[in-house]
Amino acid sequence: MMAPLCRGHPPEPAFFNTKGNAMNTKSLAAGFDNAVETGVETVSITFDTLFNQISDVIELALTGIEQIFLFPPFYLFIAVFSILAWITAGRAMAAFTLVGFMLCYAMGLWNETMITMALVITSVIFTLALAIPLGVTAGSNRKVSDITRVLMDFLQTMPPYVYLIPAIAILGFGASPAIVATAIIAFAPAVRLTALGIRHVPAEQVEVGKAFGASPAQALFKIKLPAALPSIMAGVNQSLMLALSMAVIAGIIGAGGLGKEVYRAIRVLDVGKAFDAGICIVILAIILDRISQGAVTLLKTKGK
Amino acid sequence: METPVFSIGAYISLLVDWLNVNAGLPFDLLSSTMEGAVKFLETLLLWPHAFAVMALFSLLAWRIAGLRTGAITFFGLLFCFAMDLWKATMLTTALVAVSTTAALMVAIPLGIWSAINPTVDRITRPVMDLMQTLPPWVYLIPAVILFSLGRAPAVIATAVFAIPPALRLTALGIREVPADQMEVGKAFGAAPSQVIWKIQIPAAMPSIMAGVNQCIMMSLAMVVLAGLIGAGGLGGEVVRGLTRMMIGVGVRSGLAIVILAIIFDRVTQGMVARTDPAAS
Repeated sequence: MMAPLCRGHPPEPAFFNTKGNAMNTKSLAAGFDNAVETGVETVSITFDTLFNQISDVIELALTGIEQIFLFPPFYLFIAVFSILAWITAGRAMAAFTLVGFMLCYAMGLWNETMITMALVITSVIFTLALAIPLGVTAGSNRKVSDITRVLMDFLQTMPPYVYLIPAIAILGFGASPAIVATAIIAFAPAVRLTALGIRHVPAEQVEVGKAFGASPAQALFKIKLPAALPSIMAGVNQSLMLALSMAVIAGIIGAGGLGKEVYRAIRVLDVGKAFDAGICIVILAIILDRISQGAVTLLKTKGK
Repeated sequence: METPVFSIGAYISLLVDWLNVNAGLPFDLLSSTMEGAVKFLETLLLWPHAFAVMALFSLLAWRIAGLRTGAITFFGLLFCFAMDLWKATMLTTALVAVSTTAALMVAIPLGIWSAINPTVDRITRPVMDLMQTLPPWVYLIPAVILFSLGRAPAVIATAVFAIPPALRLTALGIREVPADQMEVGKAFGAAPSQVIWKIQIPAAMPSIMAGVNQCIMMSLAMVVLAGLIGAGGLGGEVVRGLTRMMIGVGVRSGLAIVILAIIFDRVTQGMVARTDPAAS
């Protein structure tokens, strides 16, 4: 992969010779690799059943959701989504959804589009199941909020790609590491925006509830969560978009769908197919983004 | 897979063929410029002894962002060197530097223009919206097809991908310069170009630098992804680790990427803080 570099200049004197060091660092690196590999092996052998169970649960959820998307005839699915787009984002978006999904079907990529969609939805469901409770806690507890902020900063600094490595190390190849990595990526914005929403619920609203004798649980579910809903939905929108970008990247580690198709087409330099799959990804991104953003504005106007 | 009834890609591939035959020159020129710049920077970074480069970068980080960042830079780079990833790290740095520069050369002028001209703003805004909706992967497809595999398509796709945040934050910064400041300048007889160069741009500097920070972080994420199309560097190592089941290699280069991300982020945030008049 690395071409011979600095071909032109004269050999360096002994002190400045990086190559003299190379053997040393090579053995260090090899030691590191060995340690990591034995470590991962030990962990995966020790927790073999646990990881298998996690992997099974994830795969079961994925196949279930995949079936929901693939089972109905495509026109039914398109109709449902167009109506959804009409309600949330207006007539123009409904038309775009209709034409966009028809295009995906016409290009022969319907199954791939649905598999990618299932990957995104499954990971976002897993993410939200963890992120919303954590966000609610962080929104009402100072200490938790400080800890999660540092953690989320760290999560968001790293390039998305990096998360595939531990996921593969623990769960092997296939769809379940892809979903785990995708869920991790989509985690941070959901936590942040949930906490933000909860924190910004006016204190007097909560006070009124308490004055009428609401228990803490009632105050949370009947006052705080509904008031924070627009912000939470904004988090869901961000999560969906990040999950889509990751679900596509995950094509290289054996998750199916559009990402796999792009990867395959690029490797065999099938220009037409690569573009077709790329266009499907763009269509999917626009539809998911506009529908979930539309839901945010819908909730905001309804709240007022 | 169903048989396609209709394929947009088929028409695009005809267009690409036509472009390759009839308009190869501008593409070749762009591609060789990018490749040359990366090669030059890479050679420059690898020419001195690794420790000299490390010391230089740590000193810079110290001056810009404080002692702690300086120490993080030194130990971080030392880790990259000790893990036999020095060449890959320097190549990734060169790729990020070249693509960020290219992105900023487009983003900052366009950002300033769209802040002062409503028509330009009306055009750039929906384009930026669309660009930020698209997943990074999508940018690699046309780049690979027009510039084939290697470093040039990686740099070009990265530069395009990293434009939106820098453009948006530049425009935001320029737009938020208080009107009274500009008024004072005009009252003292400043020409419109002087108002832009001497008042608006300096006042917008913190916002522009925040855009540079975002631009660099997005470039790094994309350059790593571009390992998939043969750009080499740390991204190439990760791909090697992932596709050949060499977890050790993957983790090692993943850690190096995280280190690089932290260093870039801290140093550029230090730069943001230095330009912020409220802080100094």
